[in-house]
Amino acid sequence: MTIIVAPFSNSDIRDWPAEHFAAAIGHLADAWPGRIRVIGTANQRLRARDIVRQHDPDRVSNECGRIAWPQVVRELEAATCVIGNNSGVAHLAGRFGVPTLCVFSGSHQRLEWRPLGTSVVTLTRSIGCSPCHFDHGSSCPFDKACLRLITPRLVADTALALIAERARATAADAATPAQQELA
Amino acid sequence: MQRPTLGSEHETARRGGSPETYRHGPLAPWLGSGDIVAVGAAPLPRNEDGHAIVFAGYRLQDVGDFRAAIRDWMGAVRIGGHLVIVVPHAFLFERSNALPSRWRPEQRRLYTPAALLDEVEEALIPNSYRVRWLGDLDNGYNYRLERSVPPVGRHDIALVLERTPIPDWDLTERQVLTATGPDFAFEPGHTRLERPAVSHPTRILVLKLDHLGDFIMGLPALERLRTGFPDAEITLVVGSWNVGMAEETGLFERVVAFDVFPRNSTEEKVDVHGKTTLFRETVTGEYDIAIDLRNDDDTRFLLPLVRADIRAGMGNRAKFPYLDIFLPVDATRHGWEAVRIEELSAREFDCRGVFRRTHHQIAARGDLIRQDGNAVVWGPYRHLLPGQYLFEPHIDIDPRTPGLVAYDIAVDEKVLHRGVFGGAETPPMIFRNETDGGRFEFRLWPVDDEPLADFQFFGGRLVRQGASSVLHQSEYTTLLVELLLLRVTQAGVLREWTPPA
Repeated sequence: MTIIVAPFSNSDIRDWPAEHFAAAIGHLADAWPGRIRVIGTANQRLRARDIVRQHDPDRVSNECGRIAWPQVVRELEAATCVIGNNSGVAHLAGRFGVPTLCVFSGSHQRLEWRPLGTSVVTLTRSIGCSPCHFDHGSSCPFDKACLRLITPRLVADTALALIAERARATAADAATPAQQELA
Repeated sequence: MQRPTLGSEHETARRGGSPETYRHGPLAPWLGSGDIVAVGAAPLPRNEDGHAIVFAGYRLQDVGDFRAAIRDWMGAVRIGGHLVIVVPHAFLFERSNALPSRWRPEQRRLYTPAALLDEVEEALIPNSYRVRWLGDLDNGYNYRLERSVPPVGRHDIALVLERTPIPDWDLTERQVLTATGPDFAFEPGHTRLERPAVSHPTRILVLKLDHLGDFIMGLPALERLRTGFPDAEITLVVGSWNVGMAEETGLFERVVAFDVFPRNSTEEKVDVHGKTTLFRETVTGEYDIAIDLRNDDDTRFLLPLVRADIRAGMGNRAKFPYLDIFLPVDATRHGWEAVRIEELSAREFDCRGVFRRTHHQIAARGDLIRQDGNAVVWGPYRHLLPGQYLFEPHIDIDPRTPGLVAYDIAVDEKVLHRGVFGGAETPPMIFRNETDGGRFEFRLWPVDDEPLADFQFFGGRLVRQGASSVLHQSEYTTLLVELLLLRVTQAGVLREWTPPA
């Protein structure tokens, strides 16, 4: 039971604010018993500290720079849920069919760039300045309102709903034919 | 060699030392004297200003939530005071790089200096502290003892942190906020949750309402639709002139005649929108998918009249918001064959100083020019993409004055086209530029042994020929069907999603 959180893309205009990730992780840790692992590169480890700082390290770990990419791929495939931005991890998780939340910045067209897969829920705000195609968050005069206005509570609740949905589907698949008929 | 027993010395090693243990070593500046509060089993005593020194010896390695513990200890230190953390050194105490700890089974983590610092950086807000000392303590350590016996001598890592006031700035680079959401948000307060859904359509309606040739060009798409949805019931709506041919294909369960266009548009008046009522009466069923396979958009208005879960057609959502699946077609496909038309004013050209220049023209008097082998007008030195070009100079040559005017076109100083203005008609100046960024130059010259005619030059028009970006009709319709198949059966059609309660 692991939620993998990938908070960093290769362009910070696309990154949901770190404090939002931290708050969403807090909601998830309160409501869900498994482990939450924050992944990224070694260079992103410093930034990930701001996300994990307030949480119990037995539940929430900073794995940035600690896991080689082949292992990341294996862990994504086995994850209970993946939460990411408009970046490669969300695309990969969607391809694996893992319940995935993509907190999608208004910098790009969601219809063009969203992760594919019926297990993926994409969260966006409809904002007039989108798509801006900026690369840097500091270029945005609105402090990334397109992301900032997506609340941690909504992301956590959506993740929990996806996890519950997958659990129900798995239980239904495991049920005997007789049980399925009764259901 | 005699194996040492696990006696009182070992117990001391297990517990680590008190502050006094470190009083005379490198930690003396902090533990030598003064108000030292040691972390113990009980909560740290607090006072209003905080303590000068908090000592956490052999505590951190046993704590699960190290982030909260370090924050708690540092919270008891006053600004300018110090937190001293001592933990067992993995390489000197456990002499191992993996848990469980050889001598302290309750230990949760092993430490190196880097691992200790990593936990501190993870626990404390940046710039709320400074690292004043970090090092290994191994005074009296017996390196000759085997791994299997308890260590003798100090075997610790010590870290001294000074608590500092947090500056007003933080490490996040932010733009100054100049506006907030509601005035530019189309749906204030609403976050879209969207999720694609695949489906298995059993009832498909196809509109192919155009003429005979269009129907034939649409056959590859219709065949692909049939193979893509082999179990679906497909109803085709066509002009009455195509019913027989459609039935003969055997691709459809039902063929319905509906003439939205006249069979011959030159013989009858076209009234597409006047057929709405008739269409409602003719197409009455409910469908999983309704797709319009006409390329031009004049029949798209019929789709919202169909009861269907998914509507597909050529065009875009801005124009046809009811399309769930749409193939955007190039808006310029009916445009000119020119991809770039640039009007170059006379200001973008240079000329001999004796000519009179106004805002929009260069007025040349031939009698002011001596034959010296130089151009009299030149410019505009535009950098061009590779391609075929046409330049049309805007020039009036005064027929009342004797003389001629020659011209040439050069790219990167290589002359590609030259001639002499000989009459009222300006010859077409077509040239090809092969180099990316080639520098275009147009020049006017006197002709050898001839006077220069008077003229007025107003600039010119530079046109680049376009490579047509139009697809064949049959390709558009086939691509639309392929897109439909991809969306419906694989990628899914994107819809707003509400998590179940």
